[in-house]
Amino acid sequence: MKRVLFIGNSHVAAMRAAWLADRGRWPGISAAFAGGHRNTLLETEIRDGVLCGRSGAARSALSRLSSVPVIRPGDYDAVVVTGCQVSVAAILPVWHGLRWVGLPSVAAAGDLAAAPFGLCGRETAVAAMAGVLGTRLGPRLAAHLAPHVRGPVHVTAQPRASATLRGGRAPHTYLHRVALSAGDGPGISAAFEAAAGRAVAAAGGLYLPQPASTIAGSILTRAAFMHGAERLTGTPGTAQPDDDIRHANACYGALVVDGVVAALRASATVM
Amino acid sequence: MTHPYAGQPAHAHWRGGTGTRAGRDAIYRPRVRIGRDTPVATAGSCFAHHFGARLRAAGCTVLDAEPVPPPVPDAVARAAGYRVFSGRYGNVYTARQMRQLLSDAVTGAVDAGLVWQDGGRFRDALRPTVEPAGLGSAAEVLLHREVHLERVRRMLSGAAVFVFTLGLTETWEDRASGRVLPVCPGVAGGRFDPARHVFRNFTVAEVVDDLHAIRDLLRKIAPGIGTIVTVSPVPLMATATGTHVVTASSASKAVLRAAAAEFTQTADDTDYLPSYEIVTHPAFGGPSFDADLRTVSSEGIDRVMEIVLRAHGLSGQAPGRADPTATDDHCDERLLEAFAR
Repeated sequence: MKRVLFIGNSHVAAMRAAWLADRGRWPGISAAFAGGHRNTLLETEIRDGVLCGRSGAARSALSRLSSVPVIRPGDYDAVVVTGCQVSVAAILPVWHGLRWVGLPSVAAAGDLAAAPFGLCGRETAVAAMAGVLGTRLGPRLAAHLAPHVRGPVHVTAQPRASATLRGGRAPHTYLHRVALSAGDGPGISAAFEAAAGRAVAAAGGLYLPQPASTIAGSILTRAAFMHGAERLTGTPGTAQPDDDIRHANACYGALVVDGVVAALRASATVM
Repeated sequence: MTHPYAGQPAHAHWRGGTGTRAGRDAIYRPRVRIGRDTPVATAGSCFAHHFGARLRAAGCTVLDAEPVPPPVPDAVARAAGYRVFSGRYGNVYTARQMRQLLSDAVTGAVDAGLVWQDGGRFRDALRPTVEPAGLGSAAEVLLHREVHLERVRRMLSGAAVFVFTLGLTETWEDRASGRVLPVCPGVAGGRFDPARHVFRNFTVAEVVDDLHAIRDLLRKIAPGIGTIVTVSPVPLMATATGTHVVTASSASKAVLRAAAAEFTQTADDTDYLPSYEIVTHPAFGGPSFDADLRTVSSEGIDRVMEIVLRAHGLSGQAPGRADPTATDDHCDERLLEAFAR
């Protein structure tokens, strides 16, 4: 039996929902879940092998949102940091300000010296994106936990925003819409994957990209994987608001767990 | 009986100029003024980076032709030439290099012969470190350079003050194009070719001539712009003269210091900012270097900026430290160190 700890922010709810709905899908796997909203999981420490909160918010999150009473990261064969701002949304401001040859928006710009973005090499943009992602919760949490875990620390991508944003005016989606209308989605997506891999590796983790079958238009998630998403609360099954475009559902979570299990099996084969 | 020295101000005498804070402050009495709203552009050697960063932290308006989005961490941005100077031109060590850059910005000239190819990646020989991984083609390099030059020109057209830190007199010239290079070929890309790359060590007269040309080019872009010249106190990382590095440093700094004096004495819209003296002279608590005896200590930079900000009436707040972890690691000249090991 392989023991896997899924830990993360609100996005861990998708994996938890998948597990609770169909744990028989992953024979030989035992999963535990721990969560905390925003950056509370960084307000923790490992004391005598146990993950403990240093702040009241962290203590509360660990007691309310964990599936097990005590979390000993060293007891698990793998730890999976889920969501945690390793997202396309996090790097869109970089793309907004820095672009590279090969993007349709660069080809379409008449006077590049007057363009609202700077021109840089693609590798420089990827490095900038990796730098931004390295400051986000996912890589930081991976680095925080890695010394205390006997197996690998995987970091999964946060789901891309829902494809339903295309026609709407949802808040915080302006850059998505600009990128899509410019035709830059594929270039951004590829740069994001490279940057996320780099940022997670720098934190000592292994990056797991968003399942390809869930992606729409390069930088969005197919609506079918977003409808019915759950909130991260002490009571599983609490639905996200109808207008939520950031959280994925149990179907998505199941594909992520599939990916984690495949990675575990691959590493066991290699070993 | 009186004599010419009797009529000199207190700071003209050793005791008066060094014994009190007011006397020491008098080392810098600017003609070219900087206020918080004065658009300032910076360029030069490593020390210029500190100057711009501290001015910005003090609330001054330091221009940036090629900004990087705010979420990008400083260390990552600086590694690619962002947030270091007012343009992504990398280190501009010599007056000749600055003259070339401004001339190219005015004419838009881009030399296809100054692209280096290394292992399938391409670099701009005139700023080889700003794209650490290089670019995908020579055409991409030339496009980047064209955009860069135009952005620099537009940035300077809005500048009221240009601060230029002279760093070196030694340089390498590309015989084919007649252009000087910021870094010797082979150090940060390219391949050294003794038939093509010629060592130059500029004289006082040459530096003065270049400084005047810089002033003329700046005024062509931004009529009325003032120029502040400083001499970097940072010694040479290495010399190609065959002499001792300390001797070569002294000679180089002496040439630059003399050229700065001669230049600023002949034009009212120019000024000399004595960072070299403030960092190196015992009268100001110097020499103020880190343990490597080369990197200017943060106390030394503080001392310069305290005097500068007070002189411009900008010392309402402590001289800012834009980033206490800021280092000179992005300086091109440091690359020479790696080759000395």
